[in-house]
Amino acid sequence: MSDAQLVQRCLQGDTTAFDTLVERYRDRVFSLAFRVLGDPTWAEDLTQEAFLRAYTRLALYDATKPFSTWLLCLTARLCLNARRDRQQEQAQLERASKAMPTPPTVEEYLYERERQRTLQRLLMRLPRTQRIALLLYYHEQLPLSAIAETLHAPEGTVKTWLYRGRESLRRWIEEELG
Amino acid sequence: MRTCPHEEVLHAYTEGWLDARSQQAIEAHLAECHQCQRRVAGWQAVSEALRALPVVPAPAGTLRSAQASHREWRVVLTLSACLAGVALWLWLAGFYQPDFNRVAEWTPYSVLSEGARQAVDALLLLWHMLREAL
Repeated sequence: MSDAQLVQRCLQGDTTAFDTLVERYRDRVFSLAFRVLGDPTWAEDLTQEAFLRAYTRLALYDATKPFSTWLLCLTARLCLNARRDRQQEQAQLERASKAMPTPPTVEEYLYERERQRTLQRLLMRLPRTQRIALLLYYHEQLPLSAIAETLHAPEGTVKTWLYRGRESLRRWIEEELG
Repeated sequence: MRTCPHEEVLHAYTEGWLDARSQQAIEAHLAECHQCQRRVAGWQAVSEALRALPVVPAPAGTLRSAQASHREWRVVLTLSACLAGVALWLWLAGFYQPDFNRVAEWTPYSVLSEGARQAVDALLLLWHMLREAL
């Protein structure tokens, strides 16, 4: 059954239809939140919030566009505005700094997993808007127009963020490789 | 094209955002500029790596269904509304016996709190009666 049909059934009162949508997109929503926020607990809270918001705003979903785009943009908007109080932020930074791996050797770098961890660590150094733009455009392959709408910015600005983000990552990777 | 194009233009080229003529001009430049070739290759490697990032699975059992929590809220709200309705009915049905000799001393708070207290007493009485009967 397609996403649009599930949404329709959900709006008609079918209580299981939304559960199917949750099952279908839970990992992708969590993954996006984790890649943007860099903290699994925080990402989990945000995933919960994203699905709750999607459920309560389901009537606003435009069925002519893919449900995945709508849901991921909603998640990205929550990530953009997600704030933690100073104490929680500090605790997360401390955890992140303790968990920060030592710079990998060339041999380690060749391993896919190490490369992914390095990329995630470098992504966290980017400003949040650039990080979200890169993930939505390259990882989720969403159209520029949807990203611009999500980030409340003109498409030209999103293009500039994509350029700056990609250039920073390229430079940092080159620096890491020496 | 002898001088290198602006980096942002070069970046737009890699995404195919330029018009056909500009794309061709950049291509011609790239054929002879190793520095720009290297930059473009670096960006393409970054975007490939971003595309290849795996989906991180949500921790098992920790994410409750959004609808389930929504349902829980609906149950809580319905129960609260039922209780409030029963309390109101008990109050209006005569279990509440206000002291009309002290009308002058009534305040909205005293009326509500006394009413609520008597409604709770009535509910408790009803509960005991039901328990006895069963």
